Amino acid sequence: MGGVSEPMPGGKGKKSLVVDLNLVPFIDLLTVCITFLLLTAVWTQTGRINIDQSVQKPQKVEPQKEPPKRLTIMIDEKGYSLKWADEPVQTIPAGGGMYDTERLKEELKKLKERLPKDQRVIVAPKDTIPYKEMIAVMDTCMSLGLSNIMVADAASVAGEMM
Amino acid sequence: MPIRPPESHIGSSIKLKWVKGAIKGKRGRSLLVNLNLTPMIDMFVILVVFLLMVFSATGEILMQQQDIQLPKAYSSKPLERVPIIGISQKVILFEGEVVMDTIGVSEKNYPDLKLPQLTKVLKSARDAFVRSNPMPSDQEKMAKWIEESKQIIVQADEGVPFEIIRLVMTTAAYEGYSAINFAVVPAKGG
Repeated sequence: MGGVSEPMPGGKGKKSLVVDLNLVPFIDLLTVCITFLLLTAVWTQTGRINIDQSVQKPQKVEPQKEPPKRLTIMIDEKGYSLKWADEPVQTIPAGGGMYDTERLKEELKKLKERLPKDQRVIVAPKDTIPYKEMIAVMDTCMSLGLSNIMVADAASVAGEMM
Repeated sequence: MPIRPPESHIGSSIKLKWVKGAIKGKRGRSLLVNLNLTPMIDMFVILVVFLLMVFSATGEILMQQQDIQLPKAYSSKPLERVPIIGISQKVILFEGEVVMDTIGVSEKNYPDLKLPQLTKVLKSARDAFVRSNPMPSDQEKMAKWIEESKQIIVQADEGVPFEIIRLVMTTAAYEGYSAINFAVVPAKGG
């Protein structure tokens, strides 16, 4: 050990410089710290993806002169169908049960330059689509900054997808 | 049995000669051993550092349910403490209590898009919230109160069909919980 055992200069040479530090209080403190931190530890971190006004109560819709342009992403067994305003529907087929989220991201990135600020995105999965596919689409939208997301029923948007 | 003078002695059945010797002070080896505490303290310090790194001040909001596998997402925000609806492949839970079965939940069985059992618990949760936090009269605080009162977390299994999610969302929205937060596991990278 690196202790110094030389006699003190000028001293009588009897008192050793090696001191035994009392470690017991330090160990006590560490044990209490570990116990507290183990009890309060959060092992599974969870996050959230939020939407607002997802389903509105039925209300009288006043006819508008110019309806707002809509960006709709429909998810069905065949893949994604993307529709922006009056432009033709773009389909991104799913291969072997896997959805092409990368291509959706690319298409949305291309489209994003033309979108107004804070454009509302309607995500409309079909009833049989697993929840994780909906989250994947919402996640893709949010990663591109399209955070104004609304969830709708595929049947309600099917008409405009024709 | 011989009478021995009062001193420290050890039974003759003990065969450890050096122990006897040590007690009698015949040998130089002491019984006092200095325990080396350095590795233990090292380990403790590493543990404390690791636990401090995973420490989260918000605490655990979502209790992980056994049969709910949350989907992963790259862009997510931290959760806040609001009512939680859990949806597994078998049951629908509210704040950890089983409300109803997931099997049989479809638009065909509930044509008005409302799940009566869930409506009941959501209504009582809202009543409890209003009782404990009455609506403030201050305009600014009221807006915040309204925003806060409509938040709900949906903790659903990743394989649950969208139809069930939709019915739960509609039911929640009818009860005034229109800001829906989908619980996800934050994915790394992206």
